[in-house]
Amino acid sequence: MNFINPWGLLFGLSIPAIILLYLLKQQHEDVEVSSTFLWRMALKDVQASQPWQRLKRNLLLLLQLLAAAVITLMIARPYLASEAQGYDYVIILDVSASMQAVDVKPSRFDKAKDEINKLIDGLLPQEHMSIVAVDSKARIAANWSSDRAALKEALNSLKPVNAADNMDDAVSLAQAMAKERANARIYIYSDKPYGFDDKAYQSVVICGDPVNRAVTGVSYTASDDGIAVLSKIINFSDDAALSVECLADGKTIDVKEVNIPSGKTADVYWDDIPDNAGIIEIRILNEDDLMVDNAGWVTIRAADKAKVLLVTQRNVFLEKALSLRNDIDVLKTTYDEADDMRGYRLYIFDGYMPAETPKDGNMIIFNPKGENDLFKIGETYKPGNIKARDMSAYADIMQYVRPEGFHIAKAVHIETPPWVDVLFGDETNPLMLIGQQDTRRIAVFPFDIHDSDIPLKVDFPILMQNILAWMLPPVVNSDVQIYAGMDVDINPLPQAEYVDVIAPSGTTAALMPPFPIAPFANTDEVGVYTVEQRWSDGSAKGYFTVAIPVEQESDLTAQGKSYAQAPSRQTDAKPASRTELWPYLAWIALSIVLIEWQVYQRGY
Amino acid sequence: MAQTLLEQDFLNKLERLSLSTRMMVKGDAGGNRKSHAKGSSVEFSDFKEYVPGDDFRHIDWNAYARFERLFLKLFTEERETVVTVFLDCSKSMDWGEPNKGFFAKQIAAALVYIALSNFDRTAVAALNQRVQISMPILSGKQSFWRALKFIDGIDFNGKTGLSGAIKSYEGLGSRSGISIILTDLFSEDGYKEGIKYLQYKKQDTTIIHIMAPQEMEPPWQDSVRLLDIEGYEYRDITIKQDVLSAYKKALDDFLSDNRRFCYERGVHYIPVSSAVGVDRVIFDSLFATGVVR
Repeated sequence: MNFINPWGLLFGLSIPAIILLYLLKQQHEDVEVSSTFLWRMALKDVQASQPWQRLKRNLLLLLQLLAAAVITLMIARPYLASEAQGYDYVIILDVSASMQAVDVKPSRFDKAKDEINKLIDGLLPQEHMSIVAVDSKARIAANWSSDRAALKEALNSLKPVNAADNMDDAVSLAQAMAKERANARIYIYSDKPYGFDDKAYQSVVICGDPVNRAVTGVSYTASDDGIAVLSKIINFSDDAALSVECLADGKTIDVKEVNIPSGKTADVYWDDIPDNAGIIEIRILNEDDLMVDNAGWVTIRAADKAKVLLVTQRNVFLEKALSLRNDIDVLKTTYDEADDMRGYRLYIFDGYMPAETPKDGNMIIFNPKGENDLFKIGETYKPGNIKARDMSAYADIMQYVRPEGFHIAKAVHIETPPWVDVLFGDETNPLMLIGQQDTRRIAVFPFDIHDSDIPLKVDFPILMQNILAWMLPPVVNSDVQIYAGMDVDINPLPQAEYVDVIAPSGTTAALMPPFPIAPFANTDEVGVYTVEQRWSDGSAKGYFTVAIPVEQESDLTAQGKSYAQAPSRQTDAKPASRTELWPYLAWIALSIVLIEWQVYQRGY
Repeated sequence: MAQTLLEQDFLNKLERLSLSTRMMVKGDAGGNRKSHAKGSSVEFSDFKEYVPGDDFRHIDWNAYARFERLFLKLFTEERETVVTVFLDCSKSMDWGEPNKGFFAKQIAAALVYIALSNFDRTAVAALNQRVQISMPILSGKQSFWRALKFIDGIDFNGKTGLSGAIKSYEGLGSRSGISIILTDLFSEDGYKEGIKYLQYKKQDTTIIHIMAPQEMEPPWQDSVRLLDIEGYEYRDITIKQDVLSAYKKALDDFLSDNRRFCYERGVHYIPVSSAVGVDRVIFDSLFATGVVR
């Protein structure tokens, strides 16, 4: 027999205490007798006057000692286990969005916590436990502790989030932790079954009979007819007629009944959206076991148009390429008129360069000429075979562009400053330089594009769009759906001095200063986030939406990954249990106390 | 006293009784007891031949008619004797339910009544460690009320020292008599020396050993502190079956030791419980042993 709480045996001190109390108590009833003469004679035979003799045959005392012994055992919590040796446990607790589902009462997450609490209660003094919480990242909530209170505190501080789980991360972390220990067990508490072929791993599945539907996506198109919104609703449960609501800036626009067969996705279109609508929210009104994925958002409110200054004598190709972007406002000017150069997000200099380059915007420079504060311009030469240069941080800009096909008649030498990368050039000389100086993004082409065949190539508009995309980034890249728990890269305007991110609940996080700006990581809330940029004489707002990772999390009956070559189906396995004896001891103690009461009542 | 010692009905019954003695009585005053002195009474004793000088009034003329010789009829002269009732008045007697002391007083009163009714001279002495108080020798039935008043007035206090108290009693004189001791025999210095002294004083001695029912069957259990009522000591004990058995054995040993001693000394030993009535003591216990008849 082993004890979970050997310190409980200290309660055994109550046994001598009871005996002592009995000795001290010995409450004598005073009785007057005519003479103690006969008693003296009687007691010569029976040595009853000695204290321990009085304790003899005292049924009450015996019962009390028995009860104290049983209670002592009970507190020490003996248990029967097939393996007497203790384990060290790594507990992986899934805190992802699907754990919020309430198909298991009170919720999958709370149920999992209960199960882990039971395991903590059964922890032996020589056993240790680590708790790894996993959402989009795995993190250690408790590190090899045998302190039950500390473990419970760590466990109870965990909350389910809206992110997807990154079980690979968690399993590899747990394996690394388990390696430190000789006899480690890894238990995964999740709503998805995970398969292992190693008995040291067990997957505890917390899953009921879930009902769930989710909004998987919301998008819009703006045309002359107005704004049209497309929403996608997926039904993971039985065939259902769902009520779906469309809200614009919090006001209901329409409600539709949609019949969606089991396991299918339905497209729901919405028109009659007001032209000035900013945020469209699509909501499933029917209740299900996971409510957090029943809404989706899209932001329509366009960012302010970016102002671009083009300084050129004449460049049809460039103008054509710029006109492809409808979110920019291009102001064209000639060399002579280029004097007030302030307040633009992008300056494009074609065959011209001011001596002092503007500080408040990004720059694209074609065929630079004259003295300037960025780099020194050298002799004209004829470039050789053009090649792309690999290994650049800006390689994305060359996506779908093949510079090997370019031919350039003449170019100028440029002394390469340290802050630029060369994206392509001939054997020795750079022909496209790109870099970032402080907050300014700068691209330099040391040739006139009229002296090349580049504008005639299909690569040119692609290259221009890539450059423009980099030069005029949206505050947040809206092409990629952001899911809860993901990091969001915020691209502040060059002139922005302060950047705040306002969460859907209204909490504000200051991102800048300091500079450079760190990715915004606090994206657990779902909904529309506002990015507010402020500078000395202006401000700008941008928006991004964060959604539940529906693909991983909304299917509440999803299967987990198998981490075994030959997956062993250990779903719903219970952790190696030990039989605790204290409930039986408690019953025995209760019976003894009842018997004692009876004995007392009958006055034995 | 809340209770009268004896009822009149009971006294009437007692009139027919007398105290017997195995010894012939010596004494001066004429009484109801046979004495060695032959004299004038109605009780025939013997014949003897007439010699000159004899009282010719006692010549049995019927015998002369038959034998033609003169015979004198001899009669046992009846003499009175002194009955001394020793009453143990120590504190230990004032105990028990029914109270031993009251019971002893009842017996004493009854014995005094019997004695006075039989023209015996009667004395009562209350003893603890010494003679606490004693009643002068009374005679005649008319003295009974005085004796009763005396008995009624006896207080129970002090320790018991029976032997010493008896030896210090000066009312016995040199003539033989009857001594009856009413006691619980819980005596500091024992009682045997006192009995020997009484026998030396030619007393026909009877011990009426009075015990309360609580002494014979202790009603307590578990932890008790026994306080000696006479203040000798206290004793903490836990009364269990084994202790009770030991007590019973000690009691039996005590009684049989008393019985053996008394048998050897020719003393009447009558253990009685205060729970039985005084009439039962007189008519059963004392009658059976021949102390009264």
